[in-house]
Amino acid sequence: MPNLDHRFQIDGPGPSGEVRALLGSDRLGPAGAAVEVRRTWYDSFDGRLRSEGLTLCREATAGRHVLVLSDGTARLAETEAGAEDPSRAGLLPSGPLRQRIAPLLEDRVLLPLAELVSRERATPVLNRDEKTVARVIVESRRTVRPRRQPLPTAVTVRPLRGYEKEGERIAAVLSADGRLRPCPAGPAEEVLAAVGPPPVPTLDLELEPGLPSGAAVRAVLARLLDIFEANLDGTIRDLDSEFLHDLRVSVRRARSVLKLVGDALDEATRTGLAAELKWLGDLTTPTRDLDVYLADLRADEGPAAHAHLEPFRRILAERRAGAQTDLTRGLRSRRTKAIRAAWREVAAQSAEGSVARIPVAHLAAERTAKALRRVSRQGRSIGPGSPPDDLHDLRKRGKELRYLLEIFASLYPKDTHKAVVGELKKLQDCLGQYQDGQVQAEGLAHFAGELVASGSIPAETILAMGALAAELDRRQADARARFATVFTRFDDASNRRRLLSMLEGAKP
Amino acid sequence: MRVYATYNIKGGVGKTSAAVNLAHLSAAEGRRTLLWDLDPQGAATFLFRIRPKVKGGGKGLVRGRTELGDHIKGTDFDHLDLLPADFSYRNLDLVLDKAKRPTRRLAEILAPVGEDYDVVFLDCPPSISLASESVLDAADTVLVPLIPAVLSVRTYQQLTAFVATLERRPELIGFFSMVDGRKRLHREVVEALRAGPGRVAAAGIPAASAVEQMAVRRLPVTASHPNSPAARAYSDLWAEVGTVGPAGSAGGTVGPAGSAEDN
Repeated sequence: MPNLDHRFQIDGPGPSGEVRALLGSDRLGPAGAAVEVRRTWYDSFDGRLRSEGLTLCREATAGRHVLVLSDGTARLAETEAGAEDPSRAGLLPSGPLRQRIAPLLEDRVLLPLAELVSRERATPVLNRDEKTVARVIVESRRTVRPRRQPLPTAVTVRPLRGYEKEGERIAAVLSADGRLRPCPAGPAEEVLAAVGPPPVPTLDLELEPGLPSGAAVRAVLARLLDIFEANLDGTIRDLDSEFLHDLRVSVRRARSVLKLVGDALDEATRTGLAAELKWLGDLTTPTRDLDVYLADLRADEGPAAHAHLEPFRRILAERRAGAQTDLTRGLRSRRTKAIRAAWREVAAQSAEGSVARIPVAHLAAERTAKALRRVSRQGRSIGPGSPPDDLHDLRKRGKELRYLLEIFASLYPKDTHKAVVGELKKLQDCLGQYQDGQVQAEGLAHFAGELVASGSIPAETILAMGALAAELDRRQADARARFATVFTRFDDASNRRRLLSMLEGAKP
Repeated sequence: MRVYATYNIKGGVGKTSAAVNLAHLSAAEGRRTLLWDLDPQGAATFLFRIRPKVKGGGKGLVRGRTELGDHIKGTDFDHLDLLPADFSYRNLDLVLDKAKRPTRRLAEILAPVGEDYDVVFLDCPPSISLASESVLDAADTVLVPLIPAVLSVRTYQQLTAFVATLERRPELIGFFSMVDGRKRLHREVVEALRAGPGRVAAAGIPAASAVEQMAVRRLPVTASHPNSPAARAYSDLWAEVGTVGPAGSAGGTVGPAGSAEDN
């Protein structure tokens, strides 16, 4: 139902008696009892609901908890909720609210953003028949999250459905009083504006083409460290798998930066960091692999296979718990602290060398063109009989090319950049499907062997795992069959020309 | 959305009192509830202090010239809205008669507000007509107030037989209204009907001055005298027949999707 509220703010405590004075000529009913309402707003760490213009709020009044999804103008859906924070969309009661947010959140967990406690007292405004036509609600409010802070008292005119004109009239009376300031924003917008945007750094750096490469590459490395740091707590607390994913990608990108444009950085400080980042990256691999396994298992299994695959899922979950313990220990270790310090130092220390002084658009063009040549050369050498390792190597080279394109994205026109990355992504998706299929099939065979050796495995589970292995084989074969076409399309002269002229066009 | 109708061929048997009090109880539980006062006399509308006026009248609604949602008024109670009566509803039969598929028409008019409400009550005028057939078609549950009199038994049997002939058959639940436990006849009829075929609710509404006072106080008895025997009887009745789930309990399920490895 649409929100028909007229909202005002007033400084100071704003007792309801004041409203009575303001609306002196209106017939008012007795003010209701003061009610405490606790509103908590939730979103994913990366603000997926807010980026869609949605807010999700849990309203708690007198022991009743309701989750409300709104879009700024109307309440879209609501559902009964428990007293505890909601976590994943998939665990909410089924219904329109869950249907709307689950595809947006995917596996991301909901986190509390802000919490507002208000003490509300409603005074009914009556017509000649002593019928309530609107309520004037005075709210004294304070936020308790992210920080404790009193907010101006809010005065809301809430007309009852079908009495909108009365609402407008009452709002006009209140507007005429200089002490009340109209406040078009709803409580969600007001509170979330105070909270600020989601604290998620992204790689969208604005690099000037003429910026010296040293400064540009340091800025990239510093931003990658920001991303790492922002995802560290969520990874350690194991809130959802995306924290680890984003943390891991930041490490991998930092390694590529060192490898591909590291000569723009100070040599003395960067020595040794690449090897340490490799250790950090490897530390994250077992948990991430098991996350992918479990996610694919959820996506693949039909309802019939569900029960049969339970022993397999259990063993994966156990392994994952073990891997997460190792990961947490590693991320909390002195070694990780030292790596973060070294990373910060490299990002801060300006370099003296000649590479550091050339404009970043020149360095980006040279290294990206080189990375493209490598992808083309390796890709062209792959034939129907090439071993899997050749395709794996090509995937790694493709990742390097993609990282360079992403790191220096701000140098290029958005549309061309999007088209170039889009073609590369198709190639990488094909190679990813091939490699993931192979790695998972090998893992499946390994786990099946372990389960059989343990002697406690039902035949149905082995059969269901066999079906899963067949599906992985099919996907891998499909990717291998598509590879030649996908690569030829990527390696097409016009696509290459577009990429190279984009690089050249950015030079100052 | 679950649709309840309070219906009886006879008038003055407690249909409106039941609709008003049960709708109030439903809303008090947090369910978004709409009460549609279909009786041109507009007793339910009067009780909620709302003007008995629908712009364009019943004809406008039936012919689709006006939207039902545009005429809805909020009552003084949270989660409870009312679609007022209009004197033109006395001609609803004639208007429906000219409509396509007249017995389906009420359900069609209600459909657009299906997302807005968990529970709808239709308070029907006493008659057996095209309008009542359309009500029976739109309702999931028809609550039939029965005065403990021999003729009531006969009326309920007639209604049960009639509903059995319908293509879409609502659940029919009788309940005793205006019961005077001191009268032997009342006790006998109650026992006879409960023993017979057709569902009759265990809860019965007593003849009580608090119910009669509703028109004076212009409040549901469940709001003005929540601890009175009459209010408790309505609560018992609602506990028996109010089977609808909370808001947002319907709909499909969507599971989380897996995240792909970065390429």
